[in-house]
Amino acid sequence: MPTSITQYLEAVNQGEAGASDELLNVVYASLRQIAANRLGRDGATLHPTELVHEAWIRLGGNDAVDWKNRFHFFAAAAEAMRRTLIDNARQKQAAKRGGRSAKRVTLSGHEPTELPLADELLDLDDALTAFEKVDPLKAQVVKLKYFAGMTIAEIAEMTNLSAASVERYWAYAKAWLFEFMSDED
Amino acid sequence: MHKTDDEIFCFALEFDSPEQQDQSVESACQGDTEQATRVRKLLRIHRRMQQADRGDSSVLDRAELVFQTFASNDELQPGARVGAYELIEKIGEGGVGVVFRAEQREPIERDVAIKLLKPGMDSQRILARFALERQVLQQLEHPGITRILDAGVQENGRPYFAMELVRDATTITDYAARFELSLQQRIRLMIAVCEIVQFAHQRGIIHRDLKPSNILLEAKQQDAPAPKIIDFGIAKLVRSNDDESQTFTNLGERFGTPAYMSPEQALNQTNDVDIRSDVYSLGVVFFELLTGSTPRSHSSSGSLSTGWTQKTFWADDPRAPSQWQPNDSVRSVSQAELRGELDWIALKALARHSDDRYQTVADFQRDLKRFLAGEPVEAAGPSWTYRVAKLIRRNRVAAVASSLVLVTVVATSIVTSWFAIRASRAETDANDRLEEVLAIQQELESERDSADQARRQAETMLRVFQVQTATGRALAAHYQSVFSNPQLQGDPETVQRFASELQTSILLEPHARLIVRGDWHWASESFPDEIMLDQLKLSSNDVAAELPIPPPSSSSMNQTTAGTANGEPNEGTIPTQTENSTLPSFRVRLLDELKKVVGADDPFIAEVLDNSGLDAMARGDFEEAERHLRDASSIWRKSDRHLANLVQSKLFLAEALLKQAKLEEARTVLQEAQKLIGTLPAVGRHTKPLRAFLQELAAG
Repeated sequence: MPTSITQYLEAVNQGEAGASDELLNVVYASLRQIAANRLGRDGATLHPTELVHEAWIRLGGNDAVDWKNRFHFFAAAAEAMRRTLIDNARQKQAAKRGGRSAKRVTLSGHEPTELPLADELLDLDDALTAFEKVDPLKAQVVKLKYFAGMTIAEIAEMTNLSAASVERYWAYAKAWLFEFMSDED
Repeated sequence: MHKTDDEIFCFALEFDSPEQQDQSVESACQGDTEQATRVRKLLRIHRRMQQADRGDSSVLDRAELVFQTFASNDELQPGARVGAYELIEKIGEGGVGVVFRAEQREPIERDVAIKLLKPGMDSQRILARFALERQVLQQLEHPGITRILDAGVQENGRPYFAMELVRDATTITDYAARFELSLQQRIRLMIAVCEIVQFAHQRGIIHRDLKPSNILLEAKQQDAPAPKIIDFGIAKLVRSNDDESQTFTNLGERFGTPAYMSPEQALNQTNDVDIRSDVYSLGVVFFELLTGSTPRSHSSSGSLSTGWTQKTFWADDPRAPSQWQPNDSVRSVSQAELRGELDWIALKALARHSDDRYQTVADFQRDLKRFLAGEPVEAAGPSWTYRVAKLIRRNRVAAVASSLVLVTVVATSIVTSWFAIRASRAETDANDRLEEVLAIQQELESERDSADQARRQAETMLRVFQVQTATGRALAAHYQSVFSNPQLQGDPETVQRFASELQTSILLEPHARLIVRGDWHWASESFPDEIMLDQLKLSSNDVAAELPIPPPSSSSMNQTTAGTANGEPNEGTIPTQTENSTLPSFRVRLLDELKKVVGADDPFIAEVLDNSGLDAMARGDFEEAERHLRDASSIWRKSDRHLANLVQSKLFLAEALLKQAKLEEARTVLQEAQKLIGTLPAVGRHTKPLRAFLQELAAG
């Protein structure tokens, strides 16, 4: 049984069976804990970046950790975030009688302060699942950017790509996902 | 070589204009029109996304908001079941969790409030604490407190509490704003809230999170608004333990709501949190009821949301309520009235150091009541001048007269009691008396270890100034009548005598300690017997001293009632009355004025009448004595607590009747007195001397 985040990460790196799931569970638990604590603060806004970085530090991560292992962590964190959000959205939707409401994908359909509809998130998840099958690398960029709140530069560093490439991948992925969401039905 | 969609897309992004981009796609697709259409569409979407208001165009650009939903607590929706309860509707959301109205079916059917705590709360610890606190919390039975009925854990591991439900609730501040409560109504509301918090404090429960959203009222207007305080005891249950609190400190996490939290709570001095932290929070609520804002919402030492865990944030005192720009919610509050006492009261409750605050909620409440009654408030501190000003304001009419003679009056308005006459050894110089009064004032203030002491002090000072006011009025009237008398006018001898008569009037109390009295009852309860005896210079083994009656011999009667206990002549005896004395008319005036100021039925008046009766007997005017003593008796009779005084008056009266040879009447009065003595405790401070006097009279 691994005792530190580094050991979890190393296990993933070695391709050990179930290591990815274990890592995911640890990161997931940590993120939930942090998110919950964070909310106690007055007027706290929750930023994914803060959450993930805090989880990283809490779990004992530091600069000495190999970039490959760090990537495993952030990938796991992004996935953990995604699952939490989707679970959350599903619960909300289940509570609403009649399941999913009519599809709404707009470019500027909401006030900035309005929380994204659960439906929208679920649509995004569907699209992302489809996109992962077509283009796992770019889907990974989306997850790191969107669910782990990483910047283009951070992703570039971690994935060993140029920032310009990451920027373009992000643009492509967004357009693809949006198109998928609009076309469905 | 065939290129993939993304390669073509990314390559096209190298170009700036849409035309160039499309052109690049055409050439890259090498005649695959389907692919070209696909990629061109993606580019079109991309360009629109770029043009659309950046940052909120789609779910993909609103990651932060998505995360807020992630962390929000409304996973549970109406209809969901939590333990034995079915959630009906969400009624609130706060720092600790979300609150639902819920229905309980078993074992009884009722509506409750269910508070679902946020994720991350340590369920086991909370439940363990609840098990410990359950007894205490359930004893917290008060109409103004919603009790915690139950605690449990949801399936997802989060704890919840079931609490009594407040229907149609609105917060205290919203209530005040909605019904445009006046300043007085707001203060009364605050007094009611204090009452409730004090109840819990007396049972050892500190709220720790008092704020408007925890102080609720029914949303419709009530004649007598009945606030209800929710979440009593919750804070203690969900508090982090000591190990965790260190971690939370690092994260800037505190339980509670910054705006209403005391400095010791905010700075995490957990050991310093006591009932005075609740005093502070109530102070904030009060402040908000007056100004519409919380006291540190505009602090120069940092914003509330970030600075409140820093020491520097608390370095300055908040501005006084009257210095704030009132907002709409306090439109109905007359801001001009805040200056002065209400400022003092609010700032005292909000003192940074808990030692400087009201030490109990009851103290805070008492000052609010004092303010409403127009009495001096404790928050003002021990300022003599303030109290004088306040009391004079209460007696505006008298002020004109009394201000002329303020100092003289303080010295001479001291009204005697019968016991004090007995104790008098020497006539005290007027200035000495003034000094003594001040010393007692100081002593009382330094003794302010209990709230009761403070109340008595206020009453005492009130009484002093009531007497002073009356004396001032009587003096003014007296001066006028004396000096408008053509016969007396310009006669230096008369003026001289006039002054000396007033100084030595029998109505004047020889011992300053008892000025606070006016009624013996109060004094005897205020001070332990031994202090009393010491102050009165009575020796406890001096049997004669325990006989509080001047020997009814005619010689001493004629001389003075201020004779000593052992019957020796007193150096400072009251001068024998001279002809043309103005004293009798002054006494009548003084008595009238005293009645007006303190009320004709006040026990104080009865004591003055007793003294006047004795005084009259000393002058040999037994008719007048009879009149005074009958009046005194009729006042004493109105209260069960003054039986001893009633007996005393009756005994005096009997004596006055005997002197007039009204033997039948005297016998009746004596019999009444005897019957009354039978109802007094056999061993009482009063009983023994009264019996002795009764025997003496009966023998005579």
